[in-house]
Amino acid sequence: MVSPLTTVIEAELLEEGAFCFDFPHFCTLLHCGEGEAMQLVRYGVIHPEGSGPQHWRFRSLDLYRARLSRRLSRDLEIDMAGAALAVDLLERLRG
Amino acid sequence: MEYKDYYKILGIERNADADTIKASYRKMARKYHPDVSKEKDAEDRFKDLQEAYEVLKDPEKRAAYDQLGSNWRAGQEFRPPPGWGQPAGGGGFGGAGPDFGRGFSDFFESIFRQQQGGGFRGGGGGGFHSQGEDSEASIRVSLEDAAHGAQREISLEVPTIGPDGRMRREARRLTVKIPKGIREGQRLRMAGQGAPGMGGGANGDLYLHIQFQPHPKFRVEGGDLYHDLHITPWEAVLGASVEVPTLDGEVRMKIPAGSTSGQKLRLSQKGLPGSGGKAPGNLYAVIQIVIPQKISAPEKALWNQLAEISDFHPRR
Repeated sequence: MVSPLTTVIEAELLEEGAFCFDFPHFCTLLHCGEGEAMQLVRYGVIHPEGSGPQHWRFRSLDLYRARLSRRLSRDLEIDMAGAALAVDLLERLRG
Repeated sequence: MEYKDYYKILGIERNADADTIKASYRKMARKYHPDVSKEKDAEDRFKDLQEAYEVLKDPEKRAAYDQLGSNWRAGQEFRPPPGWGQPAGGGGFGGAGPDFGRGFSDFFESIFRQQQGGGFRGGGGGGFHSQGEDSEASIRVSLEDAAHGAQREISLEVPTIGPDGRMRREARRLTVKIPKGIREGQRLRMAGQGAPGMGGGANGDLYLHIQFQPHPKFRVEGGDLYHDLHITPWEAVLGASVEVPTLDGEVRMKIPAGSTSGQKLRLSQKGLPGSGGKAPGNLYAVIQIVIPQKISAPEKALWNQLAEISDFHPRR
């Protein structure tokens, strides 16, 4: 009997993901311009490793936080500073 | 389809002004936003809120909605009036834009989509592009699976785009690899398994929140495991070598003479394995001295004999 083909999805552990995305790649994944991504760094929503955009490396947790921040900004009509605070508080509650 | 009372959804009067509409939406959105809310029906409630706000914040859409009249009741069977939405010299109120991709109700679509030529079917060049939303779900895993790693099949309801180009929910089964050493509260990211993108946009990601199934033998604190180790009074007094369960099978452990209830004995690195460079947790056997409830006559005689000869007085 032939067993049905099963696709096993590789999952990445968010809390332990490596700093593997450079700045342009991160912006592509987030579908945003560099200006918006720099604002996210400035407001402390995301925390890249490295000094300056040319050397920045992001991890999946940054992508998660950035998207969460965007959803909160869009849906709750709050600015980036408010969204950054909400992301931090939500992450603290979850932990 | 059912009529939706957008004013009722936002908790406002039909004559509410723009500021009231905005304030009410923001207040209720904080309560029901799926990223924030713990309410069971948060996602559906929030979708209704978004839809109501989408209509009532826009004077054109609000005017069109108000044209339906105020005699309708929420949940009442609804059909758009004949000729509804046809251009009357001024183009009607179709309103192209991303709001049609957000999975609004049939009621919304029936009122505001009349002027649309088909909506989002994906793949078209040059039109509206949108990345799919991320999805989140919880998965309960056993301690054994967390300790050793495993593959588990999960069933989810995920948003997909139907042949008509509209968002709907569909059951999906996925087989996911649980990495060895995962801890409760951590999240697994499955790239591209979230809601589909539109107009060629990328899919969102799926995040699985890890919860541990209750275990009959262990409690978990971080990476450490706790096991209530039941011992007899004489094992506590005299000491003993007893079997203790671990996630890798039973091991023998020495109970020191004079052990007391609540005392913790550590089995180093027998807790959950470490991951990402973390050290493995420990297993703590928490001693619980268990008193026999039924004893035979000879046993009772021996206890009496012990009581007579012992000079142990814990209350002095």
